[in-house]
Amino acid sequence: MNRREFLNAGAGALALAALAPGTSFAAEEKPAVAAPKRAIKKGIMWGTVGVAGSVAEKMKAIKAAGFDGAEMMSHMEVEEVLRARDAAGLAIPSVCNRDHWSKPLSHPDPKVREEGLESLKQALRDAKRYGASSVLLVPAVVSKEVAYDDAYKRSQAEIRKAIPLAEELGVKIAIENVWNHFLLSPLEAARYVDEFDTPAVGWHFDAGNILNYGWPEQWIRILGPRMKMFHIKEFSRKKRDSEGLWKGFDVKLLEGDNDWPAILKAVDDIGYHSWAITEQGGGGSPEGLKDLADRLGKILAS
Amino acid sequence: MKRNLKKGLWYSSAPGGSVLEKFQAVKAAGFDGIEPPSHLDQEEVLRAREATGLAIPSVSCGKHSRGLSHPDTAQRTEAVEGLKHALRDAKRYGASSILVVAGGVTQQVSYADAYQRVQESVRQAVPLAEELGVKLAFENVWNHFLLSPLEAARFVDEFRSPAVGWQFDVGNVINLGWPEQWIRILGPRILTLHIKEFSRKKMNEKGPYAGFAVEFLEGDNDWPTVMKAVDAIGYHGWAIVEPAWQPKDVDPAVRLKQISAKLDQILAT
Repeated sequence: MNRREFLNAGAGALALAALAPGTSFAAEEKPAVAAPKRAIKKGIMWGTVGVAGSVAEKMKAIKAAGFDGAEMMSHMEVEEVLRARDAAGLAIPSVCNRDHWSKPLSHPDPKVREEGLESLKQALRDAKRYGASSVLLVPAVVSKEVAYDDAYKRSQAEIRKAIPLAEELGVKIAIENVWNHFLLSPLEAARYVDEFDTPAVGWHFDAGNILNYGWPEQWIRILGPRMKMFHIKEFSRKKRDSEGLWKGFDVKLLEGDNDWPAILKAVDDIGYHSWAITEQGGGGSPEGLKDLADRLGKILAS
Repeated sequence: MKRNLKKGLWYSSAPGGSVLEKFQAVKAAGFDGIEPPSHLDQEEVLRAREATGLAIPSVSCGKHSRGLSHPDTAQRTEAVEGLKHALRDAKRYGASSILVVAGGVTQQVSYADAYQRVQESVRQAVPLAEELGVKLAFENVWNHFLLSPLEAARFVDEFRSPAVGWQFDVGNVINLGWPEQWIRILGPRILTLHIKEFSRKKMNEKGPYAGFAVEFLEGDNDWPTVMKAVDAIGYHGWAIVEPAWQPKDVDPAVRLKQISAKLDQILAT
C-alpha cells in the first residue's frame, strides 16, 4: 500500500495556471487592512476529491468549497478539464504524474523506465496545456529489490532525458518527498536536485510525509528556493505510536503534529508564495471539502 | 556455511551487578567478547577481562556522544572529551573501535546544523584516534540523522581519515530501509556489526517502537541476504548482539544462552 492508496481516493491532481513563483506577491509589506496574512493560493489534489459527478461537477464543488485551484492528474481528457476549469473559475497550478508508482524511473527493467519517462513527458505536456507551472514526480521507489544507490542513478538518468522538454515547455519537474524509502535526508534531497544543474528541476514539498522521521520546517529551510510547490498534509506521531505506522495519517488538518506556525514561518523565510495544496482525506462530500478549505485557510493564517 | 565472525554481546544486556559478574555471564553463555560502555573503572574491566578470557572488540560511547550536535558549545566540548575518554578506554582494553552516536536531529536541532556540528566536533577527536590506533565508528540509531546510506557513506568519507568508519546496526534501518543495501553501500567503512531484530508487521500494527519487540529470526531481517552482503564486502570482524527486547519470565542467564544460540543460527545462514 502506498500513501495515495491510503487516502481513500484514487489518483489525481490538477491545478492551475500558476503565477510564476516570485511575481507580485511579496508578502513582506504588511497591509494595514485585514487581508489574508499570506498571498498563497489554496489548492486541492484531484485524487482526494471524493464527491460524485463529472469533472465539471467536481470542479464546481472545489470552487464552492473555497479553493482557488486543483492539482490534476496527468493523462486526463485535457479539453474536458479545460472546459471544467474555466466554467468553475479555477486554476491548475500543478499536475501529478499518473504512473510514477507503477512504472517508476528506478525500475530494473529499462522498458518500464522508458514507459515511466514517456508518462512524465505526457504530464509535462498536460501541465503546459493547463498553464500549470510544475509536474509532481515521485522520482524512484526503493524496495528490497531496488537498492537505494541504483534508484539514485537510474532515476537521475531518466529525469535528465525529460529536462529538455521541461525547459522547452517552461514547466518544472517537482520531486515530491513521499514514503518511497528514498531521499530520506533533506541535505541529500537538495543535492539530488542540484545535480541536475537546471532550474527546470525543483521540489514539491509534502509536510505530512516528513513527520515520521523529521521536521518539515527544517526541510523547507534546507530546500529553500528549490521548493516549487507545497502539499498540505497532516500526520500524528501519537497515532502512529499507539495505533500503527499508517494510522499517523488518519488525522484532520490542525489536529496532528505539524507545527504549522513554525512551518509557515519557514515558508515565509524562504520567500515561497506559490500554492498550498491539500492532500488529505475527508474530501468525500461538499461539507468535507469546505472543512478542508477552511482548515487550509487557518493553516495559512497561522 | 560457517563464517569466521566472532560473537559479542552488548554489555548492558548482561545480567549481574558487578563488571565481573556480567563478564562471567556473557562468557558462560558462549560469547567470545563483550562491548562495554566507556567511563567504567578501567582496572576493574581489565581484571574481569583477564578472569574470563573475554575479548573487548568495541567500547560504546553512545551516551556521551549524543551531545555532539548540541547547540551549546560547552556541551559539544564535553561530548568530544567523552569521545577521547572512550578512545583511551578502548586502547587499554585492546578494542579496535568505539561506538559513536552522531548526535541527533530534533525539532530544536536541525538536520543541517547537526551535520556541520557533528563533523566539526568529531574532527577534534580524530588526531587522538589516529595516534592510539582506535577507530571512531558511527552507528545508525534512531536519532533522525544520516537516514540515507549514501549520505552515511559520504559523511564518513568527508573526514578523509582511516580512523573514521561505521558501526552498522542491522535492526535499526528496517523501519526505513533494507540492511543488505546499507551493508553493500557502506562496504569497507563497516568496522563493527550490531545484530538486532525488527518486525515491520509490528511497526505497522502497533507503532515504530513495537517493531523491536520480536525474537531473533522471527522479524523482517532477511538474514541469508544480510549475511551474503556481509560476505560480499569482505567483513570478518565481530557480530555483537544488541538485544532490544527480552521475553517475559525467562531467567536472564537462560536468555543469554538462547541469544547465543540464535546468533549461531544467524551466522550460519
